[in-house]
Amino acid sequence: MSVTKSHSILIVDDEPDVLFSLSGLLRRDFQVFTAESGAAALEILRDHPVQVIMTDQRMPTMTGVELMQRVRTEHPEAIRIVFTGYADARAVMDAINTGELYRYISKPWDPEDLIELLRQAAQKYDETVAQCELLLKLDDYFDDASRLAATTNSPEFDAAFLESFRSRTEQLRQYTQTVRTSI
Amino acid sequence: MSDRQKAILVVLITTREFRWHAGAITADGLAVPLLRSDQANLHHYTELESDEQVSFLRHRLAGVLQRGCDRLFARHMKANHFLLIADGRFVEADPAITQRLADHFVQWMINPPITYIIANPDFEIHSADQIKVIAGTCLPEVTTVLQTGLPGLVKQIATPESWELITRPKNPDS
Repeated sequence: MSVTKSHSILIVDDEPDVLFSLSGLLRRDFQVFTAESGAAALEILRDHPVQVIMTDQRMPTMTGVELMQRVRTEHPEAIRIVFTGYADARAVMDAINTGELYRYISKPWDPEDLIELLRQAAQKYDETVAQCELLLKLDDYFDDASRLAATTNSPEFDAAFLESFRSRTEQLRQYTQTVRTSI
Repeated sequence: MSDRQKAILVVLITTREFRWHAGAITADGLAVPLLRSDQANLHHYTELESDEQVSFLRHRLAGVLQRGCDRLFARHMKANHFLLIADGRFVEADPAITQRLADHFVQWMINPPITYIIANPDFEIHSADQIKVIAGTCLPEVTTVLQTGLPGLVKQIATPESWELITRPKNPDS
């Protein structure tokens, strides 16, 4: 699955020159939105589809982890990345435990590595969306399969085959439910 | 494997003026001035407790290294070593702060590796024995590049327009 410029990245940092620098770095590969605060980020997320959000941890009013908790609730499909210039073990733990982050990265990072990381994040988003779509479609398929198994009277299918078909359909439905809760 | 030109990213810390300059030195000794701070950019640490001083300086200097990497990227270059060169220990601070900060950087940053050096007040390094490494390793090839390229970088401090000015953030913790 290739990542294209149709993927949107939202960068959040209260330092404008960092936003400017990151925009310049990423704009060839992604559609880039920027916000100087958590509140501004949430506003952008309400108005635009964003696949990956990357925020600084230490900002006034709302920290990166606090922002990601809001994003997780309001836009659970967005891939979440927190970065920091501090070596703050407590913030790392909070972020991982409460924000369910894709990555927590520390400054300084190599720009090439960052672009690759964001490509992977965008691909992760696509895979997650595809998995959700697949699970939805499988639900419909299982309904149809069960209905078919219950109503068919064709002599081509003996009772043992139909029972096996019903059983396999039920088993796959349970697997699907298990996978859905893990996404 | 990146095809970008490798360079040492150097941060010169002028402790008495609480400011810094960041530039690069290529393997053939070419000095590339990149960024400079405003006066007293680092001064905020003097108002903090000891642990917070390390945290603030770590954050501010990590931001400098980040910006340096970004500017090198725009020049199709890539840092293969970070060098923090101070003209002395941090003033108006716990005497242990400089060593703690240097050790912290070396432990946290391994790719590329980082070396923290204390040089003369004017950053002059004429011979290898003037390089006082307080944390990290200064490999012979880095020492050679330093001796050939550092004077050119230091000389450009006198020309402020050669460096992009980075003003301090409104929020000192940012």
